[in-house]
Parts: sequence; structure tokens; C-alpha cells
Amino acid sequence: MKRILVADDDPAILDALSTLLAPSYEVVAARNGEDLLRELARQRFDLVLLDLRMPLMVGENALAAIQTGGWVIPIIVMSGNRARIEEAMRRGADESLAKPFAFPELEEKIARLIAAPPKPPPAA
Amino acid sequence: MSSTRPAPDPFDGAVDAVVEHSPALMWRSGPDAKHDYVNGTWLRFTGRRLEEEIGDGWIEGIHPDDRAKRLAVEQLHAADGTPFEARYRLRRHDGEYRPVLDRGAPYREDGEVRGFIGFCIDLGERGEADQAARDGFFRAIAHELRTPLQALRMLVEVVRRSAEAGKDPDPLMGNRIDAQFDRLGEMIDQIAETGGRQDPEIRTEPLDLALLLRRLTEGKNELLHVRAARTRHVLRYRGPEHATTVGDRRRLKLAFGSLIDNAVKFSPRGGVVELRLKIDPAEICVQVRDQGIGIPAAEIPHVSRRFFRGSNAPPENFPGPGLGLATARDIVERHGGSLEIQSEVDHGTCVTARLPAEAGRR
Repeated sequence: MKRILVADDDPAILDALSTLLAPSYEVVAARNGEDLLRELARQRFDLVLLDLRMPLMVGENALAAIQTGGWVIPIIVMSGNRARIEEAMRRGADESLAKPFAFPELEEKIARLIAAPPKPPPAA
Repeated sequence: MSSTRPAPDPFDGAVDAVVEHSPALMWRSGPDAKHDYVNGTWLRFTGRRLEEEIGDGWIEGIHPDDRAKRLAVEQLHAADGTPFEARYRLRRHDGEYRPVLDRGAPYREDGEVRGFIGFCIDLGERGEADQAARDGFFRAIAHELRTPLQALRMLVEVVRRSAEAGKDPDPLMGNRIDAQFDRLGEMIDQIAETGGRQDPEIRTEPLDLALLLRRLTEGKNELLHVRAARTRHVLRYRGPEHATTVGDRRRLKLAFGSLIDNAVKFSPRGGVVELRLKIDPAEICVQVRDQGIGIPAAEIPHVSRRFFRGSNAPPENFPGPGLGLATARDIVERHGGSLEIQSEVDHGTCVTARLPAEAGRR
């Protein structure tokens, strides 16, 4: 089963997303940027679902840390702020979702990214 | 002027100096809003010479979009000889248009209105700060409202999918959905409490404060329930089972709910959030204590200002419009109480609300 790391500071969203994804994926939840990086270091993931607004480390910085850390992994960013979404896409996020989105939209994006061939490692 | 000889000046020219150097931009107009005098402060502000400002010259300094409005106000008040107030943008010496407040009072000779004497003050940074705070508020509120909506959409999807799969619904799902609706309701209360002021009266009624706090703790715990995540908050209530007092139930719930939300929000690594109720003969004391990021000592006096945000809590990381503490303080003070904040960076914050006990004995 493919493994997804979900990072969102809102417990209810995190919990519901975990429940919804659980039948198809193995889900690990993180409530802040520090937890996210700790989990990434601990085990391999097939996809990261990242809320841009998080305590301790904002999503944009987590995105940069994932890239500079050498993890080659598809990233979907989520936010209620469209300007931040656009910026994150410019910085190399693979997909985005504007909150409040419907779950099937997310499902479709995850399926597409996970089925896609792995992306080439970032240029050193 | 009609007098023949100037009266001896008892202030020996001091009045002229006062007017010239007044911190306000002073002016006098004759008929048709033509200026026949502006003070030194005005000239330093616009960076122009007196000859350029008198007559109609001063009008050039008004932002083109505001000119007609400013002149119309003066004309209108010249007709009935009453003072006026106007707000417009006036060009400063560096070319920047600054928001000013302009007040004019009519002066009369032989009983007839000859013109106005007035002054402008640069609303400047105050006006801009207010605007920035308002912009930030609406942005934050919009964002804030999206979060429970997102949660509700996901929770409804959970219900839908389990129904489709023919599974029994999770018995806790109703509570979780309710908790999100409570959260939306609280946000709306907070907006009304801050912006609307439509319902300013405190409505006191007998209430069990201990029960209110216990229910609040349970409700918030429901919101915090996450099975999968590593970071956890433990929210607990310590105090008597029951405590009868009087107060505005809805508002006290909003006040203590805001304090709990802040405690959770500003302890991103999780930890214990403790809600304590102590009843003394003299006062009722409610304390909300967290193990969070704390507030820098120098900023503690400012924290209960609306829209305030600690320097260690940027909005990108910590959502919210910065109203929680301001709302809580406002409500507690309107109950005749006070709010006290103790905090240490990286150790946590303790907010203490003291309410008069006599309220409880009425």
C-alpha cells in the first residue's frame, strides 16, 4: 500500500482526511512542520499532502526543506490563500487545492501523482 | 477689516507664533473657499510658498478625486454658517497624498459669515494602521471561516462513504460535526462582538459557571481529537463540579472559549492546557494555562489590543485575526472583572480572569 504523509494544523481536517484516505493508502498525520520532517526522515513516503499554514514551520519552508533535503516525492499543497498556492506552485509543488475543496478532487490528484512515473531528482 | 486702529497686543506677538507653529495645518478662507492665510506648518507640510497656497492655489494640493467634495462641504456650511468637518487626501512635500481631517468654523463680521477658520491634522500613520488592521482582519476572518468549512466537507464525506459502504455511522461523528458548527458559530459571535456592536448589552442570568467551563472543555476536546498525529493537546478542567453565579452565558462562553483556543493555538507542540476555576469569598477566578510559545515580556502590555500578534507568532504560522484576547478582556471587563496575563517565552502563558464575587451572590 502506498504511504501518504498528511500535514495540517487543524485536528479535525487532519483526522477526517486520515479516515477518508485510510481505505486506499497508509496515512501518517503531522500537525506541524517539525513533525512532518521527522516523519519524512523516519520512513519512505509516496506523497506529501501539505497545508501551507502550519505552526513551527510554514508549508513554504517545509516545501523548501523537502526539496533541499533531497527527497524526491510528489507534493500537493493546500491553502485558503490563493496567492500562497500560486507561490508554492512556482516553487515546485506538483499540485494544489484551494480550501474548502471536495474530497474527490483530492483523491483524483493523489491517484494521478502516485500513478505518474517518479520525477527526476532536483538538479544539484 | 472694519476696525480703524489695531488694539494693543497683550500677548506681544505670542499669538502669531502660536498660530504659525501650531502642530495643526491652519488656514483661513474668505468667500468661495479662497484661502487668505495658511500657517507655517501648512507650508512646511505642502512644501510650497504662501503665494502658491492662497486664493484657489491650495486646492491643487487636494487629491483630484476629493476636491469637489471638499469644496462642496465648505459651500454648504457657508450657507447656514455652521462648522464643518471633512476628510480628504492632501499632497505632502514629498508628493505623497496623506489622509487628513479638516475642521472649519465660520467667522463673522457684522453678523455675516465671512469665511472659515480651520485646521487639518495628518491622520497619517494612524489612518494607515487602522486600514491595514482592517484589511488584515477581513483576510484573516475569510481564511478562518474556510477551515471549519473544509473540516465539515471532509466529515460529511466520511459519513457519506460509510453509508455507501453499508457501515454503521461512527457514533461520535455527530459530535464532531456539531463541534465544527459550534466553531463557526463562535467565529460569527466574535465578528459580531468586534465589528458589529449591534448587541452591546450584557445580559446577566443565573448560570452554573463550573458546568459552562466543563462543557466548553469537553467541546474543545472533541475538536482536538486526532488519532493519527503525534502532537497532542490535553485539555482539562480543574475546579468544583458546580458554581452558581450570574453572567452573560453566551459571552462568557465566547470569552473562555477564545482563551482556550489561544492556549491551544500557541502551544503548537501540544501539551497540557488547564482550565481552573476557583471561587473565593471576594472573587471568582478562572485561569487558562498552557505550555506554549509564550509572549515576549515587552509585548505583554499590548496583547489584549485588537489585531495584536506577538513577534514570535507570525500570521503565516498562527492563523486567526488576533481578536481572541481582546474579545475575552472586553467581555470580562463588562462583567466588572479584569484580565491578567503572565507569560514566559517557550514556557507558556497563563491568563487569569477575575470576576467580582458579588455578581454571584445577587
